[in-house]
Amino acid sequence: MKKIILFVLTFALALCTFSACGAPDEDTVNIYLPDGAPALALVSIFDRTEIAGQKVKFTIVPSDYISSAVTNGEADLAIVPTNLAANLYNKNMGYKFVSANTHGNLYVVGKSDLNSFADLKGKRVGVIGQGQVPDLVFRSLLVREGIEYETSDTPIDGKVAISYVAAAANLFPSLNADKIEFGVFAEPAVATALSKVEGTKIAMDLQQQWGGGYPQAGLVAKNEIDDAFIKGLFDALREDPDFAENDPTQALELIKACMRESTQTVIAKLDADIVARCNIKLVPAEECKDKVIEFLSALGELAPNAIGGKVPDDNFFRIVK
Amino acid sequence: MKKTRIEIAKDILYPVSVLLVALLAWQIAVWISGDRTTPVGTFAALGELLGEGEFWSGFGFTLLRALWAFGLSFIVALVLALCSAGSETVRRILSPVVTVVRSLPTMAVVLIFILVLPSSATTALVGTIVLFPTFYAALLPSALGVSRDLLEISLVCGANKLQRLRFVYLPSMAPSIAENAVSGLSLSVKLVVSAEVLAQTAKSIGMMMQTARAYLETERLVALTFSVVFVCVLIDAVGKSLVNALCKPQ
Repeated sequence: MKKIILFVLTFALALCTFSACGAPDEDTVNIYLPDGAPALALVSIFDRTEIAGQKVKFTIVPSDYISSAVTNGEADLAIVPTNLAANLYNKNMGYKFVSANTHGNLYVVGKSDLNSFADLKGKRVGVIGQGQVPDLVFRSLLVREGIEYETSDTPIDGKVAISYVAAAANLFPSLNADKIEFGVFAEPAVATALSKVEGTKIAMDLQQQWGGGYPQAGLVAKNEIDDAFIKGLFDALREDPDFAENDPTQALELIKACMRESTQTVIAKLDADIVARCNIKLVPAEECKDKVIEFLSALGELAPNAIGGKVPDDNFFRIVK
Repeated sequence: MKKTRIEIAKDILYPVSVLLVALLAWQIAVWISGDRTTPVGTFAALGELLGEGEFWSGFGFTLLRALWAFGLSFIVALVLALCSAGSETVRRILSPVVTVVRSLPTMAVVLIFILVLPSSATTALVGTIVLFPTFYAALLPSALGVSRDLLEISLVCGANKLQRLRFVYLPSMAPSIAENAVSGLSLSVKLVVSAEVLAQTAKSIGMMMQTARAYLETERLVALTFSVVFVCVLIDAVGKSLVNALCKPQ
């Protein structure tokens, strides 16, 4: 009897294990998006099951999984940070940049005002993702303003002390307990910081400091994806570009529905102001080339490896007619 | 007994052969799968790493954190094991505490600590919490196994607690202390690196691994992993030789 029970249990366990291995549908175009602001870039078409006559599936994954989704080939198209797009191209991974979709969503949040970067001297600033876009943009601006910085958990006279964390959630308690004076947050985490940490406000808009935004993240497509599909995707997006701003509640529901199994979105709430601060706008590659090159050059000066060693050439941009 | 030349040659030949076969298998896998992470590229990345100041500073700080975690957990475990050996009440009180600490999921501990502590302190403390129950579990039987006869003789001779510790407990426990110290130190390095990856600790091997992953530098990532493996193997080998030399019967 014991042997039979053991056999049945083993069989059931094996069945459970194999049931998790669903075969991918070859005919479906898989589009991956990182959770957070980039997910808003395509939210208006999340309810579509077909674009340009092809089946389509949108999957939102935790932001640190997005690079794996493209390197292992799961994603046919994906919204990725612009530096990752350059990296993929420079390493011949078979993806090209088709459009810029988010144009900066980084803000310095703190309990006091900031008139200029010079006010950050002698202060501790928490920054998410060492070596990632938020960190590189912030440091690039500091360099541009001639402000010295150092990695430190304690304040340094005449310099900005940067303290790194993996995720915005780790900055909230530090800001609350005054262990840091300011934090560099990406919206929609800005909204969470403002609601969770008493007395905080947006002290600086890094997009303004950059000179009117920068192509922070964009859509990359596998070389095998045909132009007709990408054109169809653009046309669908242009039908209702302000969808998320006009109906943030529905947008959040759609994001929740597209989250990868067993994951939850980091977006706690969404309203028109939050969406506006995410600076979502579809700009095809041919229209944002110069800005992308300028942005990548600035990041590359600080960390060449972040963009794959060099600013990509013209072939990086896929122009869809 | 001295090793013969053949035995020494075998000691060198076997590990080198295994390494070469592993590298060949890796290269064949690269040819079949078309993956870009080749053994040659990885060794080139390792060479580049060794020439970088950032690597050495990261490595130094990682080792320092590992030493902290190891030292703290080892001393606490040794003191508590001695107290438990001397008192059944202490042993009974500590038993559930150690069980709970041992059951704590490492990643959960990191996530909780990075909310309240600087990331550097978090990594060292995580190492301490994970290592402590292991050391305690290994040292307690050793402390309990100290000869009752020796303890009684020391009492008859009027030895105080400190003298009993110095002349009875520590010499009896020396082999166990040394063995656990060796295996614990390399485990501490591994734990601290894992915690650094999650806590994004500045100036650390873990953070360099995280950055290499984000920048799609797979060969650099593997090279960093090799450097950690090499240090752990080195600690094990040097430590074991030291233990053998120190504990060799006179």
